[in-house]
Amino acid sequence: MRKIFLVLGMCFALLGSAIAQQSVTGTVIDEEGIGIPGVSIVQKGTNNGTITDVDGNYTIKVPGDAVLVFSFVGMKTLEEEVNNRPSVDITLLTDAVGIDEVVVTALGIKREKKALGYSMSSIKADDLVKSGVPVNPLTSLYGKAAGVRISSTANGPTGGMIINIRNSVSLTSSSSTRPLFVVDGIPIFDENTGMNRNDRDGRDKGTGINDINAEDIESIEILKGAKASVLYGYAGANGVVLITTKSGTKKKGLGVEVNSSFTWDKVAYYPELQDEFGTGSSIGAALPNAEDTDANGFRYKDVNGVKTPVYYGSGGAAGFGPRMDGREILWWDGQMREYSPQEDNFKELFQTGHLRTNGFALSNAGDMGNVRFGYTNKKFTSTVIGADQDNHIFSFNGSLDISKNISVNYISNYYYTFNHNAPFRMQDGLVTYGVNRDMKTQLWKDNIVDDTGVYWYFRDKERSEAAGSLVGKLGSSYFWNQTQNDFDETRHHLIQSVNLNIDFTDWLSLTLRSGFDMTRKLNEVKKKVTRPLSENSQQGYYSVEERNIFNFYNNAYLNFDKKINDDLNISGLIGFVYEDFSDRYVKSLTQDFLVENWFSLSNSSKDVKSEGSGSRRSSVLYGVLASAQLAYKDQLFLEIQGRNDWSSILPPQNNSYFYPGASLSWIASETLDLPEVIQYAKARASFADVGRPGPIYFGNLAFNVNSYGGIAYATASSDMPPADFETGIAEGKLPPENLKPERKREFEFGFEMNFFQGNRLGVDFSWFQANIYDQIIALDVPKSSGVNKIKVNAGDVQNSGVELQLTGKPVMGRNFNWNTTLNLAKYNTEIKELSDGVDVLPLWGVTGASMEARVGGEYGEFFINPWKRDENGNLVVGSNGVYQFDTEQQVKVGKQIPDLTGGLNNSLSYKSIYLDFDFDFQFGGTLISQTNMYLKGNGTGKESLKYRDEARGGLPYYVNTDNQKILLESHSAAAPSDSKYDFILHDGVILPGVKEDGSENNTLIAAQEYYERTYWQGYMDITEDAIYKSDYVALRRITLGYELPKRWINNTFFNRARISVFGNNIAYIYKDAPNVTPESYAGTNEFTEYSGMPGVRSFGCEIKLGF
Amino acid sequence: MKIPYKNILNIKTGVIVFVSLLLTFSSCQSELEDQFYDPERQTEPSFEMLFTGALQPTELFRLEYGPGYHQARAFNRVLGLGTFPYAYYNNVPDNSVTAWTGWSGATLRNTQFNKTYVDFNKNIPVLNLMLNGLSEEEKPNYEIYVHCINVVKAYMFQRLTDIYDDVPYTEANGAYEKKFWAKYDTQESIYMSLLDELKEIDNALNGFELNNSLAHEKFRVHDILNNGDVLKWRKFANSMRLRMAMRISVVAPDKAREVIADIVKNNLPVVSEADDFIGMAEKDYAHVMEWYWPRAMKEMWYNFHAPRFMVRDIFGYEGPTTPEDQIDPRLYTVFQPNQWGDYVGVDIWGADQFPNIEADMGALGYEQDRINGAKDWVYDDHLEPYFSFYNKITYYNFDMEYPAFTPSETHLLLAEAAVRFPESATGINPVEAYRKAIEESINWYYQVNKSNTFDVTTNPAIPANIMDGSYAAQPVADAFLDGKAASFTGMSNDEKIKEIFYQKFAHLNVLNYWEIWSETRRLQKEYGILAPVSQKWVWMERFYYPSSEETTNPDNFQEVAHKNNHDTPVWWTGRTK
Repeated sequence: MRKIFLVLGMCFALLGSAIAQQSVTGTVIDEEGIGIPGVSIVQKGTNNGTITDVDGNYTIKVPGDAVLVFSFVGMKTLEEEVNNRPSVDITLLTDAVGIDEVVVTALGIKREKKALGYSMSSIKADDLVKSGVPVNPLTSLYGKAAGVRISSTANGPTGGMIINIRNSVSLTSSSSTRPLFVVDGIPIFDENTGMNRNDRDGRDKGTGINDINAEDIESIEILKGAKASVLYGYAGANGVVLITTKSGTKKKGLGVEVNSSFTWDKVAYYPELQDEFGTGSSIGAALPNAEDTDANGFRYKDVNGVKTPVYYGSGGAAGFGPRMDGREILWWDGQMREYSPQEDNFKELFQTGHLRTNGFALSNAGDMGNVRFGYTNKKFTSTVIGADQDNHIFSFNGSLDISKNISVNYISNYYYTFNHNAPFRMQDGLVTYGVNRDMKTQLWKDNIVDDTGVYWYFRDKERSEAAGSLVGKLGSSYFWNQTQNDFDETRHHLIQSVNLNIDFTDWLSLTLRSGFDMTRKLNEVKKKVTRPLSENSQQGYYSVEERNIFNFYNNAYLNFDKKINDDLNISGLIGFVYEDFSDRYVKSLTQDFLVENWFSLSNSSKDVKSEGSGSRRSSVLYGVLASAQLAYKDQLFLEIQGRNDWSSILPPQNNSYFYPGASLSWIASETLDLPEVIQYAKARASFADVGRPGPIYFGNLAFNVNSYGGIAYATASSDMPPADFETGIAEGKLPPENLKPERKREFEFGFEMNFFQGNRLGVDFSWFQANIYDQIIALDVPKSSGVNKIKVNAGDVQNSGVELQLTGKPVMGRNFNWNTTLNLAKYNTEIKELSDGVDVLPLWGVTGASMEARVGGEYGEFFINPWKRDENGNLVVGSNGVYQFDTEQQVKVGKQIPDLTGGLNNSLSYKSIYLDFDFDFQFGGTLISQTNMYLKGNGTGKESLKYRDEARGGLPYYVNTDNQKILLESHSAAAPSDSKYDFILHDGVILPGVKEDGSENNTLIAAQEYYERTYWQGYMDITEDAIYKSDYVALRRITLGYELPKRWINNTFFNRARISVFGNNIAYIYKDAPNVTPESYAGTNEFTEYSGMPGVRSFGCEIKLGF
Repeated sequence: MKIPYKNILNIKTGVIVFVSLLLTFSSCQSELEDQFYDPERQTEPSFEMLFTGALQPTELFRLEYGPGYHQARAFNRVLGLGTFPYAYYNNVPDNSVTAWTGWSGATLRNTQFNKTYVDFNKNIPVLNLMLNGLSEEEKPNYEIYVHCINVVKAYMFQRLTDIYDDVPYTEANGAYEKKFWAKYDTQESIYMSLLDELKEIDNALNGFELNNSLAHEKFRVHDILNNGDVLKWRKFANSMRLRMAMRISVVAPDKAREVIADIVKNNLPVVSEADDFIGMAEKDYAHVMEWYWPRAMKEMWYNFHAPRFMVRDIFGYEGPTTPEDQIDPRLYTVFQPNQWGDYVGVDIWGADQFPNIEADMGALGYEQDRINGAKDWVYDDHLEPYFSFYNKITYYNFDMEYPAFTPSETHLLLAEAAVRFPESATGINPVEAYRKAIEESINWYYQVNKSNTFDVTTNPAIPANIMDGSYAAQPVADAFLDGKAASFTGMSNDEKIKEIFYQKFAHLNVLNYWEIWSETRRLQKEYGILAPVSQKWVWMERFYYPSSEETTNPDNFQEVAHKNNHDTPVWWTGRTK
């Protein structure tokens, strides 16, 4: 009987319960109206809860008076009373404060930002493509993150870009300071690039990061410090750029996005050129025969019995000739033509470039998973004639929930790039010798080929003599080369990633990731003959080369996330990593064509038709890692991580190394009752000590093998690897190699605070100090030791700095909003130690200048030979009439790395209209500008006008019959009887200073001699006045956009439409160096400016549609 | 919190999966070791390969493009070996142009110093360490390698100290023993050491014969300089001693006498006959116009105009009317004619250059327009030159062995020894030696000229951008040689010594700047500068040390810093600043 009552009682109880509860359904969407899967919905005060499905739908049974709590990471938690409603739809708002923001951290692990004990920056999709889809995604990062220095180069957008995080430095020039780029969990191949004088292989065609399509990027996270990147091991020592591509998770049903943009590129920031003096040499410098010239300095020749002024041609400089007075002279093509300034001829060397981008993306999501497919095509035409690039980008991202516990995600990105005739270092033609101020650009363009239509116009000896080598140089290296020859690279870049996730329990899961980055570069060079082979048989060039870079990356992580009690949670992982890297290269080339312009490897008059070369390098790495995070009351987070690597780059006995990291994050605003003005406060601290093994084969003691007439020979290395000399000496044998990993130890402290209602002001501050010690460096030793360098583990470079990010909302209104972000980073480096007996380490050098690391100094200090001065400080003038270099002295003139970098980003919106404008800046660095020297040395720069006439301070003199220059009292003096010419000259210079013997200088020279001898002496050694600051403030970007209101497109099949116009590289508000931009380096690992390639300003428009 | 047993099963599954992954990563150590070494390089080369490696560096015996380019550009102008008409330099003040600055400055300053210690020498310490590792039975068979390499070492250090004066020698090349900072030795001590070492090597090789051991079999193959001819190595060593003895003849005549007497009185083998010629040809045909000396001549062609001094003063060519037996037959092999078939040299830069052009061309009957054209020299006249060039049929014989030591030089050394130290050079007739030296030189230049099988269509091809060179028929030179010998006989001792220098100048010309420069400096104390140098140039007594010495070897460099200039004469000049 008792049992019967018990059963009945239970039935009533259940029945009563059923009667009291109701079923509530609804959809949870975000601001864009898209359903959010996985939102937690809990009946307040109970454990009763559910989560939304993939479309954001949910069903829950609750009492009619229940309160539902909707929460999702990154969104504001919302409480909603049911009030007996059967349906409750909710819109969750993004948590603008960011305290619950979820970010991607190392190894793709998603974490709440508040739990991080270190600094990182996150840039979202929209910020990357607001100004159109750039050719290079790094372009979007200018000034976006404190401590991330971005700089374009003179190579244009298809070439490499400089990226440096937290002043990353290296004492080995062959070591890259570039960060690791990780795309969807797969480290991609990246390297320094640059251009050189060799037109065949001196062209910068970019590197792996160039291929990534900004339109496909969901977010970029930048891990700056050692702790942030410790799980990446050695590869993350310079910081990590984590790129997550878009997936189709957001929306159920088919979604389509289409975007199209067009950008116009115009050269800007070209040098200020003088427009008074044309091609030739001044009388005072060339001392021509009196009968061959006149008082104006023209060169005359007898043409059909008539004394005719002729184009100066051979032997003339680009800007020291006669004044361009508009008279008719015989031009080098045999025509009489006006000799007049061509003010825009430098600009006219370039064309309007453009970038056309078209793309679409399809996405879908369902119960089983989601999928996104995107395609983008970019067609880019450079401002440099003949240079263009074509990109096709395919991206696929699909996820499949195989079962409740097993899901698989496959990401495939394929990038096809065809690069044609990227610019090479045309320094001679564009800068060193100058662009002739009288030169009509169209004449070059019209005279690339001769009458045959096949051969080079200037192959004709008479013509080339008449035009002179300067005209021919530009005609050859630029116009002929860029229009007649082909320098092509086809690049296939494939990034594949498969992720398998198995949930064993609600707290234990396994993640397996396998993927690779494969870059395949196919280069083809076709150089035509410039004249018939019968005239010169050693012409023609054809080469094919292939480089395959393969990085196979595998990892496995056992993840756990366990709530120990209400206050304590532990999570983390243990895992394995395996990396296999290989880089193989083969090249075959043919020269000395047998048949003109037949591009075949068998087309050679040589016995051996083609010549081959190649290289290969590879490495493997095994790693074991573990990470544990302890969270206390959601306000104190402790993370401890460690990793051990085994690398083939190190000798077997040293190839294992361990590195730890730890961080602590405290959300003070959760613990303490702070004043209301403080909405959020967090303090953080971290430490890590990471290791890296250095470049591949750096530690090898090995011998090169070659042949002399078929007899094999071997040569020892010119550099000595790290070695155990003691053992070698004791045993009387070659010392065994003993390279060790270099280490980077970094401490970081910081805080984040938000103030005022609506978080109108946010502060994120970091201080860090990093010591890179046991550096793998190649030290210069005396050559008399028998080697050029010894490679050692030595040195200690300290890098410290502060980073500050201020976010503000000066205006927060119903319709009008203004958000602004200021990023600042201030760094300081100090060379604490190099190696025993070594206090100076040259890092890089050009003629007359070097960049060095000196103990006690900063990294990358520049030194040059100053002008020679006597003990009284007077400048010493040599017998050639110009100041002399003091070759026995070196003075410090600055340093490569700026002290302060940053950006100011503004976003204004009024209803659906938005206006963004971004500034970036840097201060404290040094720019050695050879272009500024050349502009004086060749007479084409405005600054070379001083002394050229009476008005500009030139002294009067005459040239006697012994070709001596004799100073005159007055510019109106008559030519004395012993004058070679019947006129006097007005461009004399006597430099203030003393002669070698201490007497006052009285050596009279012509202005041209002053410029050429000063700026071209010592083969253009760097002069004191070629040193500038690399400081600048740039208005980098302006975007004006309009998001069409939903109501306008409600009746269309579009659900989103946006149009925008934008400009990039708008203006330098301030820069120190004239004539060039601070971003004119000819590569990503260059330290002086010499390219002459002008900067580019671009404007464009974009339409983006979603349906 | 308890874990449900079902979950335990899942945890076990997870651990099993994870451990199996771990196992797949096992046995990785051997893979790590395998990949440590660069597959493109050898970790354990053979002794013989390293020996050949020590003989082959460019600029040691065979010549390279880069340094050759700058040497040609600088030394052809400084020493008067080749220049071009140029109003600008004719007008610059005297002593205002320097070779150690500018475009070529750093290369000239650094190349020989850096190459000697690193490129030339880097294999030698490795060879010594490998020798240590050999068994006592094996070692004797490898001694021949060591002796020969030490002759080469003497060759390179003699040249080095001639250029820089004091240089690291006794402590040099210690990198494998962690000795990186070597002291500088004086030129005097280096010369004395080298002379002693060469004497010891000659003694050791006296009577040495190769056996059938593998080491000796390989020596025959790997000796790319002398083809395993031990006697030739002795000749090389003794000729080197002769050269060095004469180099110190001004400053240390007693030592010079001792060495000469040892060689002459003991009738030690020297490089004396055509077959004794020591030199090395470039074998890398594929890159001969890319990486090696011929490219330097191609690009520096305008510095290869025939010097007026050689054409007229040494070779005796005054014009077409000069009797044939008074013209040195080498004129036709060392030089090629201008576009009108005449041999017209270019004078050095200075006030006389243009007047001499006027005079020389006027004497040939050239019209004034043509003479003006010659003075108004432009870069593109190399296909139709107004002046003679070094003969491209001779100098673009890609099979030519670049001379390291020639019989001509030995005989010129012996001739001077006999003039200066007749009591030591007993039995040497200076006239005969002088005559033999010129005869050997004529024969060598004609052999090189005649044996050239290359032209603009062959591979490698002679550059087409210079006017064609000329072949010369082998002359019957007896009358010329007799005349020279007679003339020499009539000279005073001082004139003989000068004449011997001029013959060295003509014989070595652009193929060995170092000896010409050194000999000019040696004889400067007694005779002034004998080379036809331009007064526009600042004379160099030595090279500056590479600037890296000051920063990388500062303590030792301090000892020589006071001499780091261009005008402190080196020890063997017998002169002071």
